[in-house]
Amino acid sequence: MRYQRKEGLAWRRLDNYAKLFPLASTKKYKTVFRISAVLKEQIDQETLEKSVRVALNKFKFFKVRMRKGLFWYYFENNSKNPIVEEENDYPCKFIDLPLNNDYLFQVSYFDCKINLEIFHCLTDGSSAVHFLKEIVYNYIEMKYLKNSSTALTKEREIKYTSEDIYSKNYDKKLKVKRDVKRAYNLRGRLLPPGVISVTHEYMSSNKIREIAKSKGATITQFLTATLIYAIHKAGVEKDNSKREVRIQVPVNLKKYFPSYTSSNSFSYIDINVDTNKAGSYDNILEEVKKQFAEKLTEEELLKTIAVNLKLSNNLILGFVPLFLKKIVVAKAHKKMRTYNTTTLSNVGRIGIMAEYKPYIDKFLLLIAPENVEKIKCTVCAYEDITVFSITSVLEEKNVENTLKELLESQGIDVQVEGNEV
Amino acid sequence: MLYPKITNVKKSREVTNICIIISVFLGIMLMTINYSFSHKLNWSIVAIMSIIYLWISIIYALDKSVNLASYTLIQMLVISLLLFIIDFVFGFQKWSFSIGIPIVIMVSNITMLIITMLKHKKYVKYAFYEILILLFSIIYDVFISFVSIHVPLLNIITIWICITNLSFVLIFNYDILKVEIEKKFHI
Repeated sequence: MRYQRKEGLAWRRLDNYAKLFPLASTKKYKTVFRISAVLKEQIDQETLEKSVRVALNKFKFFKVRMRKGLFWYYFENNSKNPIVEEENDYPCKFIDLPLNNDYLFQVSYFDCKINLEIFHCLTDGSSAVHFLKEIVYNYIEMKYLKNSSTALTKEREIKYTSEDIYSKNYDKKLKVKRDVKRAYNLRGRLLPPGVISVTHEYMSSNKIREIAKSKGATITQFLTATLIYAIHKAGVEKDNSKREVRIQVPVNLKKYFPSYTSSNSFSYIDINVDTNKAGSYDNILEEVKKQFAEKLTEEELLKTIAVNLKLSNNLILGFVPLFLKKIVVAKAHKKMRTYNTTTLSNVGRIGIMAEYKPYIDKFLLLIAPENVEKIKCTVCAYEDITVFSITSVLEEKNVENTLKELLESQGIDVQVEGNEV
Repeated sequence: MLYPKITNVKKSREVTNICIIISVFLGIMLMTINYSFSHKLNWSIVAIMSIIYLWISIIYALDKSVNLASYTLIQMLVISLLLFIIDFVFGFQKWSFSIGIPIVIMVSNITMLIITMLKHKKYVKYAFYEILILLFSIIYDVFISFVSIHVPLLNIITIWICITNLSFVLIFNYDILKVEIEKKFHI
């Protein structure tokens, strides 16, 4: 009884990055991302429901609902059960919290695919991957490894905290000048409201690594440069735009500042290239490599953290009532999004324990696009499949098609799949 | 196949939209009838406010996330406002201050007291709204005591019910209340 009472009373603040997500998010700008695991056989709803509940008991961090305070949102314990249902809408949809038992994540399935959709204020891609992996492990154990003698579950002890990596590494003295020039934003006829087109481009991880290496680049640098060139060919050139293409690349801060936190722990670097000036693909790649080398350092990341924390730690802003904050932040955030052309998030290779590999086909990652950043791009890899996914609110698939052509022209075999919008 | 075929995107909003259009049309019609007969808008204002009240009640009743205490709070505020408007439109006899609103406050406080006793384990969910109900009740009672030389009997009874409710909360649920205040007002 005492424990229940304590658990019911437990609450925590949103981390310093997450604070801004519920303020900026609207039905049009959803701040939702999806990570899916495609298995080799059809998904059984009952088993999936059980595996989600078991995973949630391990990851109590996710067992929360978001409430409004007078000045900020906060998380408190959620005693309801999560809802698992068959996928019946477009991906990365706005999560209607009351209809989702107040959970900030949503599990759905379709055919052989398990989807985990998460409101970004709860966590970031890397922690979401861990949570999905736990759901998938549980599912496989319950469905296929019932009689297995190995105590696999015990091997997966999970260590996590809700530490705020931003506050921990915040250096007040760091002074930063932000580039506030408007970037090139894709144009075109929009799909009907709520409709999102999805394109997955599958390629061999080994092949892509080999080609990137031959150009002296990492996979992320290579794909960023290819995406920039695709946007140049499919957008900038056609629209005769003079603006720079700017790609926001999220960075996992845990690689630079070790932590077990499950809260958001990402920052980003902006890669901006004047493609009209750069001209050729090779020049763009050189520029991308140069900017990665300059910006992907501990010091530069600390500067980005400082920029964001200066805003959320501002005492005057702190005392502004939540409803007023929401109006101001949503407007400011919309303006800020015009400074980016798109986002390219690479969660890298998703590692799976050997016993479970025979049951998993691939992983997919998607981010919700919106009317300002009309496409969003992600990359994730599993075994020898690297998936470059593009979500879009545009009718035309110019960038998707150009990207495929560019990759193929480099000798990479690309297979395309999508949601046929 | 990776994704389902989505056929019907906009589904159930149509019914709500039709109902809203009917309500607006009804409001305009009532005002027109009222104005054409008396050149003074009185009963139509009350009717329109009642329609608004109906909508607020329906929206809250259909929202799965709304808890009992927040529903009580909303009803208390909206009914108090509605009573005041009715009183004001029909000559401002001030019966809303001396009879109407005190009864609403009394009923709300007794409701909260009963809810708290019956659903003690879920009190965490109700605490914040109970604070707001108490706050509104106390402010109202203090306001009446200051502006009126003769404090109506109902207001005196209301004050005592509020004090009982507040004492109950402070004695039995102080720790919950403290955490709730921390949560809601953290900077």
